[in-house]
Amino acid sequence: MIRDLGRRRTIYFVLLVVCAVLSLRPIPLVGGVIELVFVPTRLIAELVAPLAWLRSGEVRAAERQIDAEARVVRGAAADLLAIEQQSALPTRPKLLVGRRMIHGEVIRRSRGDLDRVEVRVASTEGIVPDLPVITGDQYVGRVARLGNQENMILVDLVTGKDFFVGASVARTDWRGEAIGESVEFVVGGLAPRSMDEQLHLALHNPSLRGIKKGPVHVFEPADMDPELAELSRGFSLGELQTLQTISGSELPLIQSPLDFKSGLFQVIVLAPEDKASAVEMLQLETFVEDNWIRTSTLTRGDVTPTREGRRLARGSLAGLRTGQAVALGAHLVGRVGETGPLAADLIGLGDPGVRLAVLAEIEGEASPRPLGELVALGRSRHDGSLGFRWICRIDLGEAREGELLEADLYTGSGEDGVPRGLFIGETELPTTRRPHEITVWQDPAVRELERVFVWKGPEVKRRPESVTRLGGTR
Amino acid sequence: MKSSSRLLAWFFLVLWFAWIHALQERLSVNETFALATPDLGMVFFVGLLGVVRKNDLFLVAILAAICRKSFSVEPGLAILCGFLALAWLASLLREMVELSSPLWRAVLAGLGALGLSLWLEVVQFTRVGVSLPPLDVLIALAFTSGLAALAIGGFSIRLPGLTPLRAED
Repeated sequence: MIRDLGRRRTIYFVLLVVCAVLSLRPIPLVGGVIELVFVPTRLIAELVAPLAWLRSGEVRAAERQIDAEARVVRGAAADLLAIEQQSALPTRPKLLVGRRMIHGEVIRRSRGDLDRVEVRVASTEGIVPDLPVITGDQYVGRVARLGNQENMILVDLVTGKDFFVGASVARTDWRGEAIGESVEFVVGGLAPRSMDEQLHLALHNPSLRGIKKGPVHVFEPADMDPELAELSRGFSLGELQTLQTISGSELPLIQSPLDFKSGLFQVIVLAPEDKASAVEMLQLETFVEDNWIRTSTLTRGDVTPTREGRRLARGSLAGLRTGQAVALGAHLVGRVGETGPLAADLIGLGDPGVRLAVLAEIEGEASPRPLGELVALGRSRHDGSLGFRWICRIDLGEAREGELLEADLYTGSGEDGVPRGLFIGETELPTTRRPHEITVWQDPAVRELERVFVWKGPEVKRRPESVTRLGGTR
Repeated sequence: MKSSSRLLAWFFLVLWFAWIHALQERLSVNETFALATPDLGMVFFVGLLGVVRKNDLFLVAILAAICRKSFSVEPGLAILCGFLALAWLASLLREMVELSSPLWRAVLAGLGALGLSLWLEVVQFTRVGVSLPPLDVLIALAFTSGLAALAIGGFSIRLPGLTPLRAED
């Protein structure tokens, strides 16, 4: 009897350890089965519905306020996004001619392979591997292949270790005047990482050593493919800089004005000029009603005081997936966490660990700036503000050290399941290129909502496999 | 004991767990209570650990976990793991100490609340890589939970409908 009890306890202990390991390192298939155990949670949350009646007045008032603001905020967001799209086009007149430009938005980047992004383009007609991809006057990378879904392509970024593009920098004297022939070299991959988490492009095989600074432009050798070489020629790769290493030697590298890791939102694929329209832009789909799933929250908060989450009344059977944006009006409320068949978790913006790609409308600036990724640190108990960690990898104008820039924050592109243009809050941005903790003020009404919408996105068709394969073998 | 009355008692247990967790959730978003909110679900659970039949311990833990998940975005499996671990510990302790005494109840509720919170924070840290919360938040939770267990933990089994779950010894 005692031995039997001991055996039972041992089996139980082993099961506990397995549960603990699966909690720390979840396996999706096992997680899906375990979710079935928690199906009754949907019903249990309904058992306490009378508690919600106590605050229905506050909820209705908050929803009315958000609904009333929606039209204005959506209008402002739509204008902002239209400017953002336009700013992806080259500004130098020389770069605008002789090319067909197909606009695209970065939809997702793989956590495992940061050097490849998935882009939704206005049209895939005429898009083939190796076509150059740019944003503004900056060179970004090349088309790798067509994606598995219609209007999707995969783009290899210049940061990839196997990526090489020809480039040149003009030789100048101390007054900045050009002397002799420009120096040619190859650019591709990242230079050894520096301490401040900034990314620099690596430079290889210069035709002449000793050049220390200057603007770097794409200069592909014409013997590769004259048509492709001509398309990308003249686009900027950044500024050549020279760093002193610890051993005393000099390390030339290129500082790009782009945040390749998380701040690349709008791009343009350059194709040879043909009968098609010279510039094709994507339609904005964020505020199209059919792209959202209506649901409601079952709870107001979380039993764990350090978490900011709520339960949603619909689950995977209604099309909810982990990571999707939850919004009302034009306001971002949070993202979908774990999903069960009948209910799901809503992770609020005050929940530590929430990641967002963010676009900033800085006061006094005409075009919005992609800030890259913000990671939530939690909500302040004192004033209700949100804390975010942000690694500044871009130049924010001519602001002085310590100066803060007032900005409105919107969702950007590149986070799967989160459409661009949802309002997050107001902030003051530091300008130095290093990690920062920033404070964001969110509309307090957002935390009171009961009726919310979950982003499902426009319907996408899968591309026939034969076409995808064709796109990958140029 | 009739099986139908025990079945009804299990239903009442779920009902009580649901309302207690809902109350805790409301208190934790309240500005006045906030971080000082005791883990009432844990207090109720620990109050039952010393008085229900030994064979029922694990079912009580599973129901407690399901009810907590109804009001939490913490991973369900991690919550289940936390409650089952506590039930396992209680099954060992019941052979050594009187778990239904107020003092032991308070100690177990305090440690249980601290342990469960710490465990859930570790799971969150492992999954998304954010820093752990300051320890004083967790200690405050343990302290208020222990106090609550001392004051009201004994009422757990006396709540309407739960008597059939009491161990007959």
